[in-house]
Amino acid sequence: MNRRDILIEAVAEAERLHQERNDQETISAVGGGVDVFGTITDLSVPLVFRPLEGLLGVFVPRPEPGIMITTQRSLAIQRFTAAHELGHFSLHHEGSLDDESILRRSPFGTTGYDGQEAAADAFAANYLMADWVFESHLIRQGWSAESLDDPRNAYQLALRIGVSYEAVCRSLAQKEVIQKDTLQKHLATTPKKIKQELLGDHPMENWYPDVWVLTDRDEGTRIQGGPKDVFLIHLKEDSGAGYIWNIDQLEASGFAVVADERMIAPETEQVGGPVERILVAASPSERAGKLDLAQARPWDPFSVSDHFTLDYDLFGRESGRSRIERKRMVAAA
Amino acid sequence: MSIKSTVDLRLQFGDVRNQFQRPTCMAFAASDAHSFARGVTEPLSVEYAYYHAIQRRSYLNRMTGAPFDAMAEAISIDGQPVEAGWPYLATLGATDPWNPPKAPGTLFNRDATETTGGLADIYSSLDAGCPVIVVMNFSNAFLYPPSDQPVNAPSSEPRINTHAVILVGYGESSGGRCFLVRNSWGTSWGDSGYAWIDEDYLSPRLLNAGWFIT
Repeated sequence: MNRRDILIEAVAEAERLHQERNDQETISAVGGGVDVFGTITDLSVPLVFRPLEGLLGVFVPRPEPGIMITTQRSLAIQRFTAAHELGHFSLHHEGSLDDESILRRSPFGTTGYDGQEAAADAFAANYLMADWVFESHLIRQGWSAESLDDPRNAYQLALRIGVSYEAVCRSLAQKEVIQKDTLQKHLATTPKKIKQELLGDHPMENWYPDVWVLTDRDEGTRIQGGPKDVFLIHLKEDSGAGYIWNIDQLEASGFAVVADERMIAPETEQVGGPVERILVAASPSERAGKLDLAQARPWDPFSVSDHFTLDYDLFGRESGRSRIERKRMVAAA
Repeated sequence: MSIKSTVDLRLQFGDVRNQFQRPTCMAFAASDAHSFARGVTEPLSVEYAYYHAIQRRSYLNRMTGAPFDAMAEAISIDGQPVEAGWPYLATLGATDPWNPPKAPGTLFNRDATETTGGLADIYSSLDAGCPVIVVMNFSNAFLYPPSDQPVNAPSSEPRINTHAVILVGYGESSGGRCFLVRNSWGTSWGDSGYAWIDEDYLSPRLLNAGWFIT
């Protein structure tokens, strides 16, 4: 098979797995990224996360196939590496020891490395960042292609898809959603700079955790992040009519509400209109659960008019067996 | 209740109404004050007044709420029919049809005046038997009016939003002078939709005040 056919086969295999697992329907319904660890588990391929010196991942085809992923990188890198190793498995490759180079290569941009690795790269890119994955999130967020010229939106897209900011930017450029000069501007804008801009007067202890900008567009979705991630929640509040968002559940779930502000229009322009309520909530440690905020007239508990619900998993990077595998083992016990 | 009222105009108003989840407090306050100025308790059409106030400012839309001056203009120039002329819509989406009826009935017009005299003018107006429309900031304490004392909270309590209500009286509590507020958040708020607020609560939060000329 020539290189072109190898890549076509890899992309087709990623699409076949998507269809087999109804990934498009799932992401359309609840957002988030493609569940690569769940796929590997469902294929009965042993998956384990261990400290690996100088490597991101390993695929072993024999005597029984298995995948090992480093614990020393972020969840986004673990997911991309897992997708790469899944590509080796699905395409019936020989064993592979994969280092940092899998993050820098463009499967469609060079002929300088072997076909097996190019195929696994193409598989990984298309498995996690298929066109429909981007489209689904753009529709949900009400974004156009131009919206992604703003690095803050590209960053939020990366968080929701579960891949690195750089990988999303490169993929958007490769798909010609953003121009090449925009890509260069995005790559010059670090996630740290974006996070600093988003949080403004509310700096973090360090800038490793992610900052999720959550709006009513994220209602009913799921997000997967890290233990100390910060939620920047924007809610339309009909407080001029007495309806107030109750944020007790956020605090009861262990989040620290570090800011609670309202953007109120001057009374010379409008009186009693909806305000934008902005909450900054920090997760002090790893946690998972359901955020469920309700808007109501606080003196009348039966007046609930709106909910803002979101499933969150802030356990961050994987270690040992994947969480999805452990969950299934517990469920089966 | 340990509040001694000096002026209480509640009985000259109809039942407190409910704006539900819409940004129409200004229209309710103005409409009910307009009814009072006409000397009747029959409610006037909030929907009609709100619709025309929104049309009078190009930057407004049905989801934003209206300021005092736009509402005063609408009632002065466009007038408003009785409630049955265009009954209030409990819900109105951004794209729902929204057009005034072709024959809403007799339209009542009245001019309003805005005061710059602050609390002194408000007391004078109430003493003269004239309720006062006020635009104010409110904080959390306003959401839970106590049954036996006026709403009060330090001016540092974070503001939640702007709001329009009618002051329909004033009195004295152990903490000092207080005002009687007629709200548009239904009868489940406060005492059948009314509550007392301390003068010290209103004073730093007062934004506008005015009334209809009788």
